[in-house]
Amino acid sequence: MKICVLCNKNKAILKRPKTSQQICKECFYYVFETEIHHTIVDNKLFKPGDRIAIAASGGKDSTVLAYVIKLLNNRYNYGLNLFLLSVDEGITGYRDDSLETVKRNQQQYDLPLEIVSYRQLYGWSMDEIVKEVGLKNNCTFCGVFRRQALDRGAMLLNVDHIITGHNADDIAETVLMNILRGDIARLQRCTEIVTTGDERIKRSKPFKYTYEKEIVMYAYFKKLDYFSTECVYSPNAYRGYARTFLKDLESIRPSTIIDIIHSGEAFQIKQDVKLPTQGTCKRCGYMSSNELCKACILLEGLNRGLPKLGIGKTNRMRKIHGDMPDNTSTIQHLDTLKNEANNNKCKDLLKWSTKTTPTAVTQEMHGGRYASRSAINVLLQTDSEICSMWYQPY
Amino acid sequence: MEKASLKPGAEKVLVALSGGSSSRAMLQLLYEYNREEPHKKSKKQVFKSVEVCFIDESTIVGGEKDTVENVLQMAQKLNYNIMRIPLEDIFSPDYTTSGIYDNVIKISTDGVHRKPSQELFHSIQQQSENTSNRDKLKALLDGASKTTVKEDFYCFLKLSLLLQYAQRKDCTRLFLGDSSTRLAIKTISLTSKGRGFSLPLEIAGETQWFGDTKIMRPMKDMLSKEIGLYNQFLHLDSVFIPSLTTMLPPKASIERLTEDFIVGLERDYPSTVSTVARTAAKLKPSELMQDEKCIICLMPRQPNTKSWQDRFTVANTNSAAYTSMPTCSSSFSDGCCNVTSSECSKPVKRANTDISDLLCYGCRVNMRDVGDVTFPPYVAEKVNEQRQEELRRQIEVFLLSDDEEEQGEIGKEVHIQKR
Repeated sequence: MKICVLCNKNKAILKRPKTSQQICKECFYYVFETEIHHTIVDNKLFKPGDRIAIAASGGKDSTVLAYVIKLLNNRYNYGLNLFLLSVDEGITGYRDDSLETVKRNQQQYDLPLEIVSYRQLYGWSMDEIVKEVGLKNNCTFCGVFRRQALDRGAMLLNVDHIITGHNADDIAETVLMNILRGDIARLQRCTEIVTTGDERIKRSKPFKYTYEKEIVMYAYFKKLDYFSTECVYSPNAYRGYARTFLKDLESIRPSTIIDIIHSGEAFQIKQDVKLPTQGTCKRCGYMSSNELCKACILLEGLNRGLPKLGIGKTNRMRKIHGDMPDNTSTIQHLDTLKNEANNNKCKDLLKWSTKTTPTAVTQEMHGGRYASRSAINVLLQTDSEICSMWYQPY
Repeated sequence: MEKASLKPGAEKVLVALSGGSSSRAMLQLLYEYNREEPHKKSKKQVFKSVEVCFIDESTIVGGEKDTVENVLQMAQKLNYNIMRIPLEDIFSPDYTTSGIYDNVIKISTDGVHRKPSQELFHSIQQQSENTSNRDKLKALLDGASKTTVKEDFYCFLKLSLLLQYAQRKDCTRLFLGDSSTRLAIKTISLTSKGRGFSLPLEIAGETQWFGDTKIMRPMKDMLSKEIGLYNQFLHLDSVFIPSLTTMLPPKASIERLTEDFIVGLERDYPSTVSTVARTAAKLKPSELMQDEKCIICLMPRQPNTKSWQDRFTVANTNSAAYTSMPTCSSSFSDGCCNVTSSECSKPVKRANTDISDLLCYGCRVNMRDVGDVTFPPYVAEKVNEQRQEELRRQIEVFLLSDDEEEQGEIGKEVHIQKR
């Protein structure tokens, strides 16, 4: 019988993918969870009272992420308010099924869920986009749209922070991809554990040092309910090369994945290399390094029947077809969304304030956990009617 | 060629010639470049003299009989001095900084079940054993269970030999024949081996990391295909040097797999190599690089990598269990381990010093696949140098030697008086 090399007590039942050690189930849970805890603590990802959205697709990574974060939140008293946030791309036979899984997870883990859909945000579902642009560049659309959709969903939930299930394999693959593509700006950014998205909503990857295989193993042993079908629109070929290469490397030396991340973290870019500057999109207010963000250009292309507009030759296409006509529909401006989100919050607050005590209201105004202060300030400034109601109890 | 950055002067150059097409072309180009041209105004040569060095690896990889002869002739045709150094000479005391250092370092690690956090490499310095250098080299390479590690060792030993030889011959520059294809492969493979910290140095066109000897890679902007064509036009013949992974499948080692990957990708996307090389050229050496060298690969050590490793690859379930772990290999069954532990763990503990903090991240990863091996004297010498340096740093505060320090002291006193 093989004995676990960590506890020297139990029977070893698995070979750890990261180190090839033969260990028992309990020790596996322990190291798996502790490494994630270390990642969180060492990088100071959270502070007490944070409102955190878990980007949930229903796949293995996000399901395990939701489970582990909830577990660690209880075990180590992070003091987090957790939410599930899903994006509905509108892919029949894939996303509709996986969203069912997310809804089950919502029940199992007892977390509030918000779903934002491409249809509702952009007026197009992925199925319709694929019909329009074919299978060649569809992943560009999906990727660009998803990023913004997540941020918009987070705004609706009024969270400070989105966590995603990107694992060590994903990050190592991205490091290699960025070297191969020569994308020096992304090469530097891709190993950062926290990136700041729009409106200071942070994004982070607690699974940065967690192997994909171990996530699958964890889900398997814990019998977690997840959805495991690949997207029906296959991933692009070039990334496929990098992925195969990485898998081959891993088979030669299991630690390669973490070694690549280690290398990636050590890279420093020469000062004189130009890096793009960040601004905001003129049309929708989302962050962008150009005048218009990629999502707006892609959407304009879709709406005008010029799907190529956003892929490579924007300027040439513009010369031929002219600027966007006024009646083209665009993405709702972020400010509108923010107001809407604030208004919703105000309504909730109002409903709540009529039922509660004046002391609770005062507490809430001084930065309670139920809503952010900015929401209350907006409320007090904009709506005098509500204001007067608020002050009534005093 | 981009040698324009060189100041013409009295520098001596050492060319590393393997006999392969790239270094062959480099030798030729250097010859053309350095030739006294009658129509030039200043009849000065760019380099004072050129030395050529050929490292003979036939002990390990075999190869054709006339290879050595062919390589020697390449240089002799151009009237250059060429020196053949067998790779196993790295075990001779001649190839150390002091030239007489004869201690070797013996490293023992406990085999298969070692945990990352227990990577304490017990080392003993001892007199070199009386086996031939050739056997010692073989034993070192056999001690590594993975081809990836063997290749790494191979590479470090060669570099170390070249540097020592360059120093002995007072060469201020060492020319390596890495082509851009080679460097693209190196970029990816070094990244994969966790050597991103030292990567900018290892692919640089020019680096001063090794003090007196500047390493240059004049061929860094040329594709291996271009070099092949150049050689063909000039009828330069090169020899084929087998490597450790010749005739082995791509998955034999990281290096080999990467080579396969890049060459394959270049076939489908012809700009791959140049893109990778350009990306890598935009990386700069970190300001954290100080004179802390890894004792095996001689590359800079990044601080705090060990704790990083321990945090994200947790290997002990609680601290008590960890300290009570026996140090001997647990590949024995339980009963046997109890019997032998008194024999094997105790003496090991006392006599040994842990050198894991003198290794870079990449070498520490390598050591996982290494059994008991004996490293050449240069490693042992480096250990002592680094330890000495550490000691010096500890007492640095109390050393009053420079004027600046005295001023600093005075400054402090003034500060105290003010208070």
